[in-house]
Amino acid sequence: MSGEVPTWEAVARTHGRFLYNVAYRLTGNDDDAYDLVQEALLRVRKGLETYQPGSMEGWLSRIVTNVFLDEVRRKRRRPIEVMPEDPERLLPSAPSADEATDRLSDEVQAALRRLPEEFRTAVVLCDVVGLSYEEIADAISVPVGTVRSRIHRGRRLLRTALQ
Amino acid sequence: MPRPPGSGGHLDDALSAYLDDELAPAARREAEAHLAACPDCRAELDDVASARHAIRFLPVHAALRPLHEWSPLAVATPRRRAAWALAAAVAAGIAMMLPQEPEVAPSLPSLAGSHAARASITGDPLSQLAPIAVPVRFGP
Repeated sequence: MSGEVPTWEAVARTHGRFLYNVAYRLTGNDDDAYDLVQEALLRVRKGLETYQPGSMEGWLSRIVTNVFLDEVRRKRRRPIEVMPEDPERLLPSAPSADEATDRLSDEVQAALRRLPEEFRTAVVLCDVVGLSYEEIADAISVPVGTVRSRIHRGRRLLRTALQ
Repeated sequence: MPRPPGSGGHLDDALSAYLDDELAPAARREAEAHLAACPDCRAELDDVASARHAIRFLPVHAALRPLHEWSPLAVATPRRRAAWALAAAVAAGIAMMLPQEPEVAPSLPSLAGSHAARASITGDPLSQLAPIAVPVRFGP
């Protein structure tokens, strides 16, 4: 990329899969992930986010994370009722090998979703996106030491939830 | 900045930094020395390593349809999308209330043909006014 702002179509075509996966890991469900990606693409389309030459995925992670954190702040100002857990998750069944893998992924995803948003964001940017601590600090505008602390505490909480 | 280990405390969040290769070489060596002597930190390292592994090996979650197929109009705020969905639902409701118009089938010529055939059997006086099967001649 040569520094010019990519079009939202180009972003969607080339990085849509990446963007959607990050959105899904941040929000924990498809409806919210869809809305998050739409809002991120809208910001790209409106030129609201300054593109800095470098990692396209780093830039997109920053946008989608900012959209997510904006939404978190908005909901905190106007709290709404928490959606109940998916009742199907409570139903026991005999899993096949694929189902067992899916179930494990679902459990990890559910544990991730229960993390406080600040911890979840740091963990997703580190372990799903693969950003360095410094890149994460830059993306969410907090000191590197805070990033390190949030990643570690997030992982400890995840470990407890998955035991 | 990495917290120096071995100063009375445990490694704490330096453990995650260690796993992520985010420690400077000197801090990394100190962390390794501490780990060799501290079973608590080794246990905590195993815990965070296992959580880190679980997230890193989550499969990529795909959207139900490719994002590049979303139209520019679909790139709207959730609120606007909800408004579109409402408008579509209202339109669908109105459409269901409207009387259904039958399609024009069979075609007009075959309708005329069947009408003529029926008229020839029943002696429908209206049809006899303009018998379709009889060619009309103009002039003398």
